[in-house]
Amino acid sequence: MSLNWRALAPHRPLAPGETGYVAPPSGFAERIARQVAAGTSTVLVTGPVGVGKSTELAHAATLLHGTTHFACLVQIDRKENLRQLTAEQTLLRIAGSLGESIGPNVSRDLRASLVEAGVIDQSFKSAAAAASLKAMFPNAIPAPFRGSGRSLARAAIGEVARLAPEGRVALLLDGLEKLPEGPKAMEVLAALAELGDEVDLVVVVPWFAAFGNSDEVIRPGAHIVPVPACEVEGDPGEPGRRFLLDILAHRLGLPSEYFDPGTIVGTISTDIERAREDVTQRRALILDAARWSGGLPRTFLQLIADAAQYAQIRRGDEWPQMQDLADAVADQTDSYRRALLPGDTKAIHQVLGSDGREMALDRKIRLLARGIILERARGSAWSIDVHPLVRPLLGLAGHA
Amino acid sequence: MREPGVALAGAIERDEGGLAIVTCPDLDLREWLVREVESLVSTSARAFRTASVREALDRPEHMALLIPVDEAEVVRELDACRDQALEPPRTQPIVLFLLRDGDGHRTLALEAPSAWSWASGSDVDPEQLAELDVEAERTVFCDETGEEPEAWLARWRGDEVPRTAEHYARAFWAFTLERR
Repeated sequence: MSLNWRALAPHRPLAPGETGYVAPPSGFAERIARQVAAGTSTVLVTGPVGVGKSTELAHAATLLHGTTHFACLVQIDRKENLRQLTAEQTLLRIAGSLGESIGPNVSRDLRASLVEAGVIDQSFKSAAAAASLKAMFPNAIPAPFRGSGRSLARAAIGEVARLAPEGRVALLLDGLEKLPEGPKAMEVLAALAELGDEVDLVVVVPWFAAFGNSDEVIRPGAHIVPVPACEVEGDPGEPGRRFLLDILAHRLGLPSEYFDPGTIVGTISTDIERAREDVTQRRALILDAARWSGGLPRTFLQLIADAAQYAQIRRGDEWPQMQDLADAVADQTDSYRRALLPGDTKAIHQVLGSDGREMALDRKIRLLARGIILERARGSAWSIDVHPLVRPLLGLAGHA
Repeated sequence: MREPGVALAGAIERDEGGLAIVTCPDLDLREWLVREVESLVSTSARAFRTASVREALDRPEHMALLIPVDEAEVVRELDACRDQALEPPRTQPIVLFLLRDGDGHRTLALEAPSAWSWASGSDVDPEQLAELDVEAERTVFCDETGEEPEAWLARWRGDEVPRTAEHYARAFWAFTLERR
């Protein structure tokens, strides 16, 4: 069997409803969907890069949709440069996504307005469609309605709520974590409050919005929920390692049993011991990569893809060996090393094992966003952990 | 050990939609590294030079050699637009050339976690990696190929060597060891 390592695509989150979703040990998407279904109106999501925020949000949308809510996922960063995003454009994008989500059922006037605003596909404006509309509505006003982002977003919410049998609308907004800190970002977040109470919100927000009173900008009493990096070390890390192994198997199009030496039985092959040994070594390499990843799926997939690349270009081998993984670990460690700034080493040592509250906020936000430090729920308390790839850079032992 | 050529080839080849960063010691060597990458990547990559993130994103079927005029601004824009590389899916990576210890790397560390994560593991500093025993590596190269790196590269540049993945990796290795 020839494996397609490029299918690992570490940077590609799963789309809503796409096959291959593997639930993390935290059950994040299910938890969020349950919370919203139970009446929580605003959930603010944070988490380090590569932890799976986009995939979890897409899955939460799938779980919610058609149950208690009409769920609409807005991947704003697929369309907009977040450095230039304004509050007005945010609301227009939301209106556009809502309009697209009800497809042909969107009203003629809203559709025309959204096309005019440039937030839904121009094909809606085709000549055939225009002729058909003119035949249906001969007395219609020819120019499209023009409204502010706020008014179009609220009009779209109103239409969707009226048409959807579920009645209540949930908006899941992805990508706003890339907003650079500053007054403009706060304006964008504050604009979400203008959507009204008829809509429930699940919003991926920048880290700076998770500290202080920034969460109050959107709606008072919003729940802040981090997507946790799963535990991958020691006995508590067994479910996390299994989760990552399953992601790998799905992306390669293999059954998870492919990596279980116990499933190899000696009915055909005469070299059964050799086959078991090969699978045992592959499994050991995958689990080692899982430990080095710190529980971040993207880092895990990057390590495996990198190791596989080394195996291919060095020896033409399909499967990497431990030395290939060691070099992939070195590549990733280099990236983390470049992300560390003067003062980080001392500051991290000072908060190790604590909940991190004594670390200066800007430093903490920068390190958390990159997954250099990870917040772990241990028992009933939160504890700062250092990413396994960073530990050797700080004079600490690597993974357990 | 990580051979610089293999690390560079791996960074560029491994992820179709990826962002690879090539770290350059100075502007003169940046130009040299750009030319080396141009000469070594497959013609099917249809590599082109640009200073514009927008242009790099708008041509997903071409390998964009992104040579910034303003490194910090380019990194910020990549950070803000990363997910636009998902739709339509890229079939070729973006290769960003940044100066070592320059504004681009500083912006990656300070302001741009998404771009940093995008390139993580695919940011190579060929010269720093090349702190190796060049003579010993040249001996290994000769043992493996039966030729000096310069002779092998001459055949490669003359299109006498088949363009296989293994040979691309060897070409990157050879140019690291080449006497200039």
